[in-house]
Amino acid sequence: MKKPAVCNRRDFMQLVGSASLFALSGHTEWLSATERTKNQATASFAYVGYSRKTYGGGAAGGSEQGIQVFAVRGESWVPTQTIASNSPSFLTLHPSQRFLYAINEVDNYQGLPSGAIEAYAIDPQHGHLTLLNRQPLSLSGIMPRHMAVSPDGNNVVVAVHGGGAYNVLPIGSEGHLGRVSGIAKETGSGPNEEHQEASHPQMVMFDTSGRHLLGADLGSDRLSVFTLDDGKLAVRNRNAAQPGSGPRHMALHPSGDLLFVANELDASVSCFRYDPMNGEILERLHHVASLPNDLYRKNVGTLAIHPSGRFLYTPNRSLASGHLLANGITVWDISTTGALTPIQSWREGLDFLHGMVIAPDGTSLSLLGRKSGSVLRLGIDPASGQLSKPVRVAKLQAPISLAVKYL
Amino acid sequence: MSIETVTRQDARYSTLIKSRNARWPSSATDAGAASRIELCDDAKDVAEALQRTVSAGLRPTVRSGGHCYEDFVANNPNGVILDLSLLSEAISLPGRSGYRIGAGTLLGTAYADLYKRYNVTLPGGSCGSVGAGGHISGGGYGLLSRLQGLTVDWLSAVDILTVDAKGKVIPRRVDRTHDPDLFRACRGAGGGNFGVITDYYFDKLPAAPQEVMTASISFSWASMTQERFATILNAYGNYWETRGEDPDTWGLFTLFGLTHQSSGRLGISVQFCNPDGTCKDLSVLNEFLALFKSCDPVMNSPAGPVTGIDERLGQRPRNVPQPDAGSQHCVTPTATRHLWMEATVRGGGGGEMRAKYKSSYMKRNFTAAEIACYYKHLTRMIPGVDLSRSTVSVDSYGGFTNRKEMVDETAIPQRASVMKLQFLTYWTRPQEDAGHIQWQSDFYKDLYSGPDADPNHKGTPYPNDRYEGCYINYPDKDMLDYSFWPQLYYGDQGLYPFLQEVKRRYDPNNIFHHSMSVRP
Repeated sequence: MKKPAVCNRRDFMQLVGSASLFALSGHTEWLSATERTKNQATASFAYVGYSRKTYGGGAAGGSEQGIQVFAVRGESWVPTQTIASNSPSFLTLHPSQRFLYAINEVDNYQGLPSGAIEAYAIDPQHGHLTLLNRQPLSLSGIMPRHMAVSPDGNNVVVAVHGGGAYNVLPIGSEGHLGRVSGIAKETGSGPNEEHQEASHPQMVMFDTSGRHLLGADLGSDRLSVFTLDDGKLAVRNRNAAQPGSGPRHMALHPSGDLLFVANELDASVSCFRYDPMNGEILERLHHVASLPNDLYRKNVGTLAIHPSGRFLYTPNRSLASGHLLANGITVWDISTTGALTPIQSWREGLDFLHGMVIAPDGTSLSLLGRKSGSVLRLGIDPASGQLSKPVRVAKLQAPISLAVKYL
Repeated sequence: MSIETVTRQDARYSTLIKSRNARWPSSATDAGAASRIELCDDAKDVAEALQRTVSAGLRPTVRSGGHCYEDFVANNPNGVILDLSLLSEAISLPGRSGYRIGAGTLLGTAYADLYKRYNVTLPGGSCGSVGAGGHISGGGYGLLSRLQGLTVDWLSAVDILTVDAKGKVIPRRVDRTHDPDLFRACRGAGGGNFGVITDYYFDKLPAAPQEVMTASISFSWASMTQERFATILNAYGNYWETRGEDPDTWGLFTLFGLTHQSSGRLGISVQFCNPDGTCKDLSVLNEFLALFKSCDPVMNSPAGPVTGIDERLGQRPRNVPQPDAGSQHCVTPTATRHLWMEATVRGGGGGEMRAKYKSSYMKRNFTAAEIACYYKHLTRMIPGVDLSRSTVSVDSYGGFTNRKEMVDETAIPQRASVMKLQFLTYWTRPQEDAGHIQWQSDFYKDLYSGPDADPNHKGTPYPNDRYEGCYINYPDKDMLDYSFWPQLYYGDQGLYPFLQEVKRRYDPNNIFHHSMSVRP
């Protein structure tokens, strides 16, 4: 099957930006790119959202829920500031790296049924956070799950899982959030009675063209493409995922034309052909089980793609431990057609995984171990994509989200 | 029949976007205002407009009379208002097998049409411009309720449009044997919770009375003392707690407007007939009126028809400044700007007053502490706040409203009260919002935090041996401050979990929601 000529390497580099300039082919070319960007890919500060209120943990002073700021010093993260925040289950940085946004995954804000979103300014020297403002989401927009800031930095789109909607909020020039400007209410359901009685958007992300927003809806088994104009979303394209699969998380190949989707309810990964020029999800190319499917009904469907585009990482989180693949990360090789072949399963030293972030230089990934209360860093071998022994870079109770600021 | 879509660019938008409370939306350019109004001629139109709205990912809110006491319809940023005010028919079904009332029918029209055509009536509210859609679905009661029950007590079936899990509009006719749980929910908890109601059906309706007697008793604040105030309230409350339960009094209905001192007077409006709908025997009426002879009343004669207290307060003429006596100069006449429909159609278009409301149900007479509290707040003067249009309307209840079997048949659980209170305060300018809202809130909290107050539910009339909570058709967003607000409106005997189950089943995507809707 001929891959569509989406863009040549030069266009692709311009689109993706400075932090992750990697060609599709050519191992050696990729290595020299690594050298070039090594300085730009050094982590400086890290932000970890935590919620002892939801996930337990001793009353060890400080607030029960909030964001812990770390100064990254090699393999050790030094905590430098703690901010109180309500259930900050997802954090993301503004493209300018000057602001951090946190969603408050709550079902009540100021007496009304809605979630909320916070804006923080990042002090460039110490990485410290100062709250700019907080905005409620739309009425009945409870339990937001994820968000994405547009590449031009002017808007943020929130996937509102509980309320079954997407919300758009404008971002001012100094990072402040304006009031909700657009509400897209979704309807739909799936065969899984427990989790698919209604629409539940789980994730949003902009494609490589920057002009389209993708949304994954676990409740309605649906992937959607939207355009964002004048602060409002318009549906451009819809694609049905396999009934009962429950799409949860997405990652785009750096080339922009392959879309990987982690399905939470049937513990699988799908690969679709995607057209970023037209904002269209095309045919499904591949579909693999990420775990033997007789074992776990539900699995956290997150995934991340290596900046080289050659490897995919899917953490498996499970409440029942004991199985070989439980609480592990599977590393997959991605072929040129998007086919996935598992090449490694790393389990040692991991538990209840969450919030995975791959460094832009592709040499490591960080993630949270909720049960052990740790932030772990695993090295990635650039040639094979394989993981090496995790190092615990930080310790804090009940971590739920992670964002890393690279220089 | 066709749908008339009125967008922001349409000349009618600024008129049709308004509700009967000038607070919402605050202006035609208010960010919270809907992006368009869909005027529907019939139920098919409503289904089509609703499907378009849902398929476009927009939020629908529904309006018939526009009298919602909160911003549940008006606060719909960029959403769609489905306007059902043109679905206004009150007619019988073939062979007089029953009656159908369209959701957009105004109560005044319903009473006139049902009376002229069929000599029947509906025991609904006294405000002629209230629409059936919200009124009946939230309970609906009025001057004949002690004799005839609530509107929902007569309801036999409802046509309602729901949205299924896939986002498809499903028209349903629900009754005791078809979707009975949804039918029960519509009998008192229907407003903006489960779907769009287009028509109400009644197998039978009660006969309209032939004649009624009206009377009006006022008490002047100028000569009022705290002792006399207590005597009056005690006489009133005691009557409804005791004598009012006798069936021969059920044709008697009164509204006691405990209006702020700055208005000059307190007043009781009375409507009476015998249970057979005649006025042949006036002994019950005279017995009631006699209760107050010793309280120095000012009798208003002849007493006009009993109207809703909000209509009376809203229509009080504003003080127009008079020119100086003896002035030599010409006085420039003042002109006032109005939206055309408001100036032309009485009761048409948006209301020009700003208002705030609260409610409670009382099972017994006032306590001494409560009476002292009423007196304190009704005589409280606040600099810069004109409280002359602020009152507590203590309406008679009990009688046929308290049939116990209606607790399980309907979604109005308050079937043991003898008085029902509506707190109302009206004003004109946005700058006065805070002062009026604060006065009413202080009053209400104080009233229900007295020495006998239940410590777990202080500040509210939580159901117990004295109170039965609040009335959902007088919604009050302030109650959201309490985690038990659903129990205030729906009781704590299992009705709210029942409604939540109906919600999950019939509106799984939570398409129909507002600040105080049933939480899925």
